Amino acid sequence: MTMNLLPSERLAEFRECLAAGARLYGPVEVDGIVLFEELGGRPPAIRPGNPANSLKSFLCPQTEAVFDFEGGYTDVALRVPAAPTAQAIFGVRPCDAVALERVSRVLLAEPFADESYRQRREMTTILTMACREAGPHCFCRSVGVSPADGRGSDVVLYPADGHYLLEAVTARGLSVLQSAGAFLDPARDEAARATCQSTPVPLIGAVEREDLAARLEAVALHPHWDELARRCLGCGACTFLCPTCYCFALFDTVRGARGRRSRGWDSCQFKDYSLMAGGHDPLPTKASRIRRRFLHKLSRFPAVQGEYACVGCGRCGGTCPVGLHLAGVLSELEEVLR
Amino acid sequence: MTDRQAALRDIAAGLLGGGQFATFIGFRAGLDPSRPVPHFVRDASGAGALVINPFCGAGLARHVLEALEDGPVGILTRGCDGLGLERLIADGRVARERLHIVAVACRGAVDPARARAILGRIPERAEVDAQAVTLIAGEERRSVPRDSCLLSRCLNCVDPSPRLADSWLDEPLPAGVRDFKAVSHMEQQPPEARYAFWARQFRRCIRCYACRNVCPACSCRSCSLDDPELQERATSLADQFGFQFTRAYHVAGRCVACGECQRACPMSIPLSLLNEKFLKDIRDSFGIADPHRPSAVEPLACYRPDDPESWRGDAR
Repeated sequence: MTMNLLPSERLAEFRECLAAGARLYGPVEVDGIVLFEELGGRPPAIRPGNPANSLKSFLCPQTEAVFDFEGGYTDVALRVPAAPTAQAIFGVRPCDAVALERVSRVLLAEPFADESYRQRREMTTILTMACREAGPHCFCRSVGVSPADGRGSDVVLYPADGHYLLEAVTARGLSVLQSAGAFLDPARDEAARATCQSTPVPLIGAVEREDLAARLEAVALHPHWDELARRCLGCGACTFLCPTCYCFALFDTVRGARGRRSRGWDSCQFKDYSLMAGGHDPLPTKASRIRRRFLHKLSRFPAVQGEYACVGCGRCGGTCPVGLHLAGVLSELEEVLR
Repeated sequence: MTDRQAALRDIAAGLLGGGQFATFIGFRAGLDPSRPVPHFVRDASGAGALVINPFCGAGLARHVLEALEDGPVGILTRGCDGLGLERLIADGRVARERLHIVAVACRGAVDPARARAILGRIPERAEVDAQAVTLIAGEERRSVPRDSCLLSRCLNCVDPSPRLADSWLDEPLPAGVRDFKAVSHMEQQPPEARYAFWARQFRRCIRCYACRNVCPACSCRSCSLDDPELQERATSLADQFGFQFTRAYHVAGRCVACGECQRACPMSIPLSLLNEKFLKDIRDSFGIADPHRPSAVEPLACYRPDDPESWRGDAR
């Protein structure tokens, strides 16, 4: 593992160097909220916690063309979109990078790897800024993610006073550090990493990590899900902003003899999400859909993949219009169990 | 415990204990003290969980639709909730006699994110009056201007108290008159600037439809937005404009200006500004002073055979 120091005053040059061969994205403040967008020379808005949107916007876009089609019933010409070009995302928080690693377990699983995602993932460099301060909704430690986590990242920057410690996590990260060699100092600062590793995450008291899956399964039929369903509005904000939610739907837009097949985010919280052609819906009630979301993230996904499908980024807590924060719901369930 | 909170718990317990009411809708404590959440009390013994404080921000009106499926509903009601209930009643979705409205005067709800940013930590309590907001955490008390930390939907509020009530927790506050300052300012901008503004806002829409799902004017059982034939799911800028205008036009003339759409929007799109535009146009075109308050005369929701303008556009 290669480590280097980058003086704080050279951070902008380091970013310019990244932008040389790729579109460079990062958190920026737009109309008072922080979003991941193309930086376009703007200084990144690095704040405790996460931007409103996640990296999903750049790796599994909200909507994208699968192909355009034109012709009749037997003679159809297809046009596939151009392959994605290189992109780098700067100022990612460790939880978001870990989320990519979780999503990749599903979307890159053979023999049905998602080609569109695979191409984008291969063209994407993730430059993560480890956390020295947790955001108000963060609970990463509760789900086994650390404020200094390197999983899913290519390079991790550990902020310290006056400089950053840069760690290359992957071969791609190593080549980034090599190309930025002119700005870097080969000295090391283990303390910078240790500081981030011990960043306190105040909210974690709300979530007991031990046996989370088993405890959740034990309340799977508890009437408290009905209480949560009364509160839930059934919108898709939590799932669309969640960095580990990867569901999508295909839809066609037809204009005469031509059209486009697109794919776009879908949400298990929408009422027709699981409606089948024969009319059966295995998730017919809001309570069943909410329960599914929690069980999937904290029990069913871990049963298959060995890790939670939640990285504690806190977006659901910050944005749910009725305060259905994942950590809050878990603490309510603990309460009703007692 | 405040007097209002104690009275609320008593009323809720009384309604639920009497056997006629199935649900009482109010707030309970959330994960942190600055984020109470909507709460649905189902029996008298649960009424003790109800809270009222200046952090109670979510609108409650829309929740009666589902709650009424279980039987009559008691509901804590501020001015905005009251207008939402009036809307649902006027639209024939809710029967007035199946509601018990517990009215409370509201001076505005504190935005927990802004409050935390000001204080540097999560506030435990807040006091809101006509001049200022006081945020309290431990020994620290800090007074700040109202517009620095109330929810944006509360800053233009002219309906602190509901017009419908079955019980009162306090004295009603007088209603005001909307000034349409923000939309008037927007109207002064050149078209290019307005386009650039809205393009920047709409571009970040994630189509979660929280704006629809919180809206007391969006109570249709099935919605055109869920039909891909009627509403493109694609998110090009043109599609985003198309979606936003569709949603806004569908509530034009019925919007009660509660601002829930804007509060609920996870991407902070200033949807209230669109609503204000319709309301201002209705005021100016039809001479209705307070077009956000449901009334017997709703110009966009009625048809008269002697209308001076043809609805087909081909007369005269």
